Amino acid sequence: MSTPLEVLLLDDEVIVGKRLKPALGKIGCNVEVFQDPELAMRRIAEKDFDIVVTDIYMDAMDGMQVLERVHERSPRTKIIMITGYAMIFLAREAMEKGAFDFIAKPFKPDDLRAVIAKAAKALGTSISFDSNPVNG
Amino acid sequence: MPILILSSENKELERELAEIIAQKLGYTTLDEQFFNIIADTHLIDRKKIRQAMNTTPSIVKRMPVKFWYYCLSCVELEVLEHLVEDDCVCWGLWAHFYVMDISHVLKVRLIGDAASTQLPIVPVRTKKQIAQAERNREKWSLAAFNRKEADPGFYDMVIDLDQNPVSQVADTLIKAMGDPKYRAMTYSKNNLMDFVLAARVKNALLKSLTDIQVHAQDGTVVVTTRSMKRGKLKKIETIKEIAGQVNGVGYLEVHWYKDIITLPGSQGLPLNGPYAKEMR
Repeated sequence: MSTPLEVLLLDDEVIVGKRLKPALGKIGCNVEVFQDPELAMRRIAEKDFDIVVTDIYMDAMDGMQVLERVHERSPRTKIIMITGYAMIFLAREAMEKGAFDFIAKPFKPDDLRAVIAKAAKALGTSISFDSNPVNG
Repeated sequence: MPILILSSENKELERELAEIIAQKLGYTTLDEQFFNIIADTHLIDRKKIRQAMNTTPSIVKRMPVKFWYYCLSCVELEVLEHLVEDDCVCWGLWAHFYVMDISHVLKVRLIGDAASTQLPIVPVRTKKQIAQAERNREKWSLAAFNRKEADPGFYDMVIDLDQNPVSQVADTLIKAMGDPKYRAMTYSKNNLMDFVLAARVKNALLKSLTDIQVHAQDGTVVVTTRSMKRGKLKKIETIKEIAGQVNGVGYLEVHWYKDIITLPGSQGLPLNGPYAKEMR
């Protein structure tokens, strides 16, 4: 891969960013971590990210709002939703609003890396990830 | 693309619609012919497996409760394994009962009896015959899954074929299947894999045991059962031994409930009361 993927990770739980940043760094992603959705949105307004990974239930702003705003600002950005409250209606709503994928927490770092690899492929690039992603 | 599951009381109509859609989308089809493969895979009489999927248990009909549940679990397992592999249109196998919370499955209930007027070779069914078939299906689905098959809340769409021609319904469904909300995602694919694992364990256990419910998530399997107190240890040990050998089981938990009044073969389990939790 010539240039690293620019990834923004938004989750109000500190531990999520702490664990996932190095995990994604290993497959060649530049990861910026945010806990505050407002700060994340300000950063998104300044910079075009390839991939945005966002939690859904957060105090300051709903992940669905983040999805809509990112999609509006940068349609090429792949948005991956992660949530501990995964439900069929929520999953369908996210996909309908343009999410690239939807993952239920808890998940293994490899699960997210597999989805990032798929997103990279959809963006026309590739990353070195050898694990066995979910088919499809 | 999503999986499409059709349900109706009119098999001819389901087949016609399913085949049009499958052909247009390049999907495979999965229907009642699959019963023969399931029967052969599990070494069950072909007639018996069809009988189990059409009637409730009955001593008179030589369909004991235990065997009936086992047949149902064989069908559930094989259908789920197939749904993981392929984009398909599925009908006549009651697959909608196995995939209730899978977001990339479009479940459609067809009502009306339009095929009998569109296909001249099919004899027109009387209202009485249709009503009887519906009553039989309701009885079966309540016994097997404690749900009414015709309950509209169970489906993503209910379509009246007396009001819409089959070709138009096919186009509507193909368009709906292109909706991003029915697209497969990591969450729904993992859910389907969990259902497959639960079905594998349930099938292995129901071969020799009764009163079994199984839930699986990411390799963790919880088996819920009940028995008389004196049979508790033996049953838990048997479950651990059988379920532990099933491919994909990482961590196994057995929840045991004390059985006061046993309904032979019943899958209903008390929600509270004295219970024991055994971990592997």
